[in-house]
This record gives sequence, C-alpha cells and structure tokens, in this order.
Amino acid sequence: MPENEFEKKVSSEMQDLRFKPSEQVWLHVEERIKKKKKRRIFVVIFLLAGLSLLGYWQRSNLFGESENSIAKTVQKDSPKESFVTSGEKQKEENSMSAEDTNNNSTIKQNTETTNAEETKNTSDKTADNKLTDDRSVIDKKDIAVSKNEINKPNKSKDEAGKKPGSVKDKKDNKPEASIAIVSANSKTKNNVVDDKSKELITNPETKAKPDEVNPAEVKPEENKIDSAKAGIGEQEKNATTKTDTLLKADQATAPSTPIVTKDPSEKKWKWGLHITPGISSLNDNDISFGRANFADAFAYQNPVGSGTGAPPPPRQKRSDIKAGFAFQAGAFAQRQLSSRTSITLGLQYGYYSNIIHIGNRRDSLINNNQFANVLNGNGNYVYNAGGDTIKYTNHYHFIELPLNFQWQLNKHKTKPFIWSAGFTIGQLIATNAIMYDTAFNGIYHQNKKLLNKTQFSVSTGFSWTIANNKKVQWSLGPVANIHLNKLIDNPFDNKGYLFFVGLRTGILFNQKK
Amino acid sequence: MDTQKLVKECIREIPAAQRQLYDHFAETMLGVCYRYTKSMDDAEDVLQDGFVKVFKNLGQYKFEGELGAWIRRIMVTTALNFLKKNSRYNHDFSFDNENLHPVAYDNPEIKMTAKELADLVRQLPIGYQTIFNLHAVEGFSHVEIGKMLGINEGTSRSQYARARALLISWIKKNDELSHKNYRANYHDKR
Repeated sequence: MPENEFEKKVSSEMQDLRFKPSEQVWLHVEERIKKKKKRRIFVVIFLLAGLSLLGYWQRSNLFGESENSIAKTVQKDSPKESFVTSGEKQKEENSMSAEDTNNNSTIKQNTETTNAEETKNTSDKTADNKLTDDRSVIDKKDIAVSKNEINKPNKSKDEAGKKPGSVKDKKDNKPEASIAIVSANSKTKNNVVDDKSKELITNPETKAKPDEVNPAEVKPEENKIDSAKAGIGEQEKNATTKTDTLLKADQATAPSTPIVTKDPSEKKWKWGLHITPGISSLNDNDISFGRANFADAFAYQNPVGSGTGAPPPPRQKRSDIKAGFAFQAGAFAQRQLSSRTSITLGLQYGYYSNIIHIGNRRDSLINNNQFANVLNGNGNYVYNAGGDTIKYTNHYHFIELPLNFQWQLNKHKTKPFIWSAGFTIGQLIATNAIMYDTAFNGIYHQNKKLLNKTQFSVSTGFSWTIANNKKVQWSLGPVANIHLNKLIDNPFDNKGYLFFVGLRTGILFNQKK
Repeated sequence: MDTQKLVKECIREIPAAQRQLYDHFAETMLGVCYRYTKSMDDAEDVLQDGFVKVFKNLGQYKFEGELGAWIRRIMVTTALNFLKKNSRYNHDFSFDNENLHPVAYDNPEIKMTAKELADLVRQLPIGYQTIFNLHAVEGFSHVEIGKMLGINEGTSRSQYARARALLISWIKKNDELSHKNYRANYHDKR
C-alpha cells in the first residue's frame, strides 16, 4: 500500500460528509448580502447634507409656515375648481372669522342640544359621557367643516359687491365652484379620516351604519350648502337641522378634516444630493465686477527690483493656464413652484483647480525686503515664471450656497427634462494658488491679499431624469458655472475669473409614503 | 442546474437564484466547515461567513474550474480566518518550528463512516486538525499550506506526520475496541 493510500481513503470518505444547516444560516446570509455596499465618501456627504438640511428645517419649524392648510388642501384636492389662491383664502377666512363666530355659536348650541337629547336615550351614564366627549370632538370638526362650507357663500356674496371684476367674481358667476370644492373634499378625504372617526365614535348607536354611508346621505349636505347661499338669516333658521344632518352625514362619511390632519406627503420641500465632477480653469470673461488692468504695461516702465534707470531686462512671461479637475458635491432642497417650475436651494462643497507650468523655486526672495514690502508677498513659495520645469496645480476649496430656478422643458411627468439657471455665493476656505508678478523678471508667488474670498457666480445646466421610482429620482446633465468677480485680483494677470464645467449627477428623494 | 446561468442571476442579486445556489452547496460546504471546527455552531458560523463571501465575490468567478471547488476554497479560507481570529481557537493555533517527525507508513483500513472519521479528526489538536485537513483531504501541498498558514514547509510536514500518527493510532484503537465489542456482543448472544 503506498504512503498516500490512507490520505486517498480519508479524502474520499470525507467528500461524503454532509450536514443540513439550520434555516437560520440562510436567513443571516440573506440579510447580510442584501446590505448594500456603502462608500465612505457618501457617508461623509450624507452626514454633511443631513446636518445642513436639519439646520434648515429646524429653522423652518421654529419660525413656522403661515400658509393655511385648509386652503392648501382644498387647492390640492380640486385644483381646477379653486379660483382663489391660498393667500386670498387666508384673507377671506380672517375677514370672515368675526362673522362666523355668531353663526358658529348658534350651530354649536344647537348641536349641544341635539347631543343632550341623544344622550337621554342611552341608559349608561359613563357611556353617555364618553359619547358626549367624543361627540364634542366630532362637533368641533363638524363645525369647523360647516364653518368653511356654510359661510363661504355669504363671504363670496359680501365680497362680490366690494370687488367686482376680481378673481372672486368668477366664483360668484360660478357658484357651483364652492360646492364642488366641498363635495370634492368630502368625497376624497373621507377615506383618509374614516379610521379616525371610527376610533372617536365608541358608542354603537353613533357608529356609522352601512345604509348611512351612501351618497344619498351626502347629497343633502350639498343641498344645504346651496340653500345656505340664500342668506345668513335663512341659514340661522335652518342651522339646527343642518347641523343635525351634517352631523349624521359627517359621522357616516367621516367628514373631511383638512384642518386637523396634515398629510406628510404634502411636504413642500424635497431634498436631494448631487455630485458634479468636471473641469475648471481661470479665464478673462467679460461679465465682470472688476476693472480692466493696465498694470502690466506700467510695470514695464517701472520695473520693481530691476534697478533704476537701466532698461528692463527680458521678462519671463506668465504660464498658460490649463484646466484642472474639479467637482462640486452637496445637498439641496427643492420646492415645486408650479407643475413645471421649481427652485432649489443648496449647500455644497466645491473643489476647483487649474494647472500652470512654472520654473524653479526662488525661495531666496522670501527674505528680500523688496519682495516683502513692495509685492506684499506673504507666501512661503516663490518660483521663476519661465522654465516649464514644474507642473503646479492651484487648488481652490469653496463652500457654496447655490440658488437655482428650474424649468421643465418637456411634458413627461416621470422623466422630466429640466433647464436650470441660478446664482451661487461661495466662500473660499483654502487655496494654495500662486500668482504671477512681473517683479524680479517674472515670478510666481503666494499672495492671499489678492484673493477675493467671497465669490458670486451664475450657473446654468440641463438635467435628464434617468430613473424615477417611488423613493428617488436620478438625474444627469451638464452644468456650467461662471464666476462674476475675479478670484485673483492680480494686476498682472487678467485671467482671474473662475469657471467650471461638469456633469451633474443628482438624486432627489421623493417624500411620498 | 445551469451553473453559468445561476451564477449570472446571483450576480444580478436575484433572490431565488441565490437561494438555489445556497441550497445546492450548503450541505457539502457545512461538511467542509465541520471538519475545521470543533462544534456545529462554529461550523455554521463559518458557513454563513463563507456564503456571504461567495455571493459578494461571485463576479470574480471566471467559470474556469468547478463552481463547487471555487466555493470550497472560499470556505476553507474562511475557516482558517475564523480559527485565527476566534479566541477559542487562536491560542492553540500556533505552530512552532519542530523537527521533522518520522512519517509512519501505516495504512490501516478505515471501517468507519465519514462522520465518525471526521469526529476523530476533530479530536486532534487544532493545529494538527487543520494541517491534516488541508493536506489529506483538500490535497494542498506542504508548500501551499506553509504559505496559507504563514509557517515553514517543514513545520507543516512535521505537524502532519504527528497528526497522521495520532489519528492512525486512534483508528486502530477504535478498530480494536469495536472488534472487542463485537466479540462481547457475539458471546452474550450465544
């Protein structure tokens, strides 16, 4: 028997070794393989974006948004019927609040009487109390609804006389519009609030009966509103019956309560992240807040550090500026202005660079008095302008606040093609840039006094939505950014305006449940 | 089973395909993991880690060898990492440079099931067990084992020789014991 016979036997025996693993193993494997790979850079960006948006939203929450949720909901539910803007509705409601009070008090009293009568019929006192409590909650809702619904005709009637020809005239000309709003609300919102109303109604007597939940019961509500248009007096007379019927109808169909519930999907602001790799350089654009310089010519006549009286020595010219890698990354919040327009406000980090070719270092000049006094040289590096021996990359790091207006060019709802234009304010936070100077026969040196740290720029771009699902929208498109003021205010170099061209990849989070 | 199609579907993260691949190989691979560890729980932990690696690195599989062999290799590597990192094993998972142990040329007959043999191997010290598995079962050379474990080739040989000798002695004892038991039972019956 050869030496490896034993090994062969063992190996062949062991190949048959099988065990059935427990189901837990697969569950753990499945759980772990579903976790997506997250890259560190995205974690950093998400953290930054999250922090900035948290701050922004916190600020919004502190100061609050004064827009009326009723008007907003009505507008959203029936955009075609709502002729009045949310602001106008707010005004209308404010102006009518005093008039409403009387009507409401009457209605409330009547409702309470009805409740009292109903509670007499029940034997259990605790149940009665509960019912009354519950009812009072419902009553408040009902009154709130009836307040909106019943008083609207009066309001329009009153204001029609005051402002003929205003938008509200249309409303008066088409009185069915207000009814349409109410009916639309009661039909669409009922489903949403139905569960809540069921929770509130604990007494079986007051629970919605199947035969009550039919359109026939809702119709009288509309009729009442029609009749309510006839006038306040008539309305007051009928208030008791109306409230009763409304109460029933509301209990049965769970009335629209736009005042109480606010659908989270109605959030105005969506937020997103973007990363925009590209290239940047410095150029001499015509859009300028700066001034034209002739200092170079002046320097020829009065060369610094080249002696007096003697003709100027041959000067090494400044390097050509080549574009370098750049990118922008950050977070933004987007608000829809209309179906096809929106604005975005963001916070982003911008990295820009450009490349120059320069000569050897001349650090000996740092201790030169003329360099320190005349050139205001405050950097640690001095290079000869000519020579092309060193490829030097100027890096610029910015924190920027872009504000963009977006306009959808196509009509596609899920995959819009968007043109955007905007304005950006940026703050330079770090740079290693060196500037050209004609002194000492042409040098490059650092001089932070020549930097305009606050930058204003305009940007434009297009974006295609390449994927759109319930949670996110992915978009891709080119952007260009031109700075309006000089980044380097160097009298010897007109090329001081930063520009950036890139390909923007954005992800917008749809906040729909 | 169309391996190529299955692998491609797994790369596309289709859950059904992933489950199918797992079901196909899990039992065999648990056998592999069992041989390298001292308990079934540890073996399942290794299996779990191994399959996570398999699914994450399936894109690197070039369809050149058998998929089973590729997965097996991953399981073995995962098991070795587990032994190195786990405190229950890493104390004993050190190999001193030893003199070459004379290799016994005994080739006893193996009259036991795969599980019994595996249980016997698992009774070896963890270093012996690992090297025995790598050489006798997986077929790695001592040079390869040396590289895998970061030890000399000679140490691997020596450890293997000791493991082999110990195992053979146990097999013989086991045989004798079972033979005695058989005879005792035979006489009792008579």
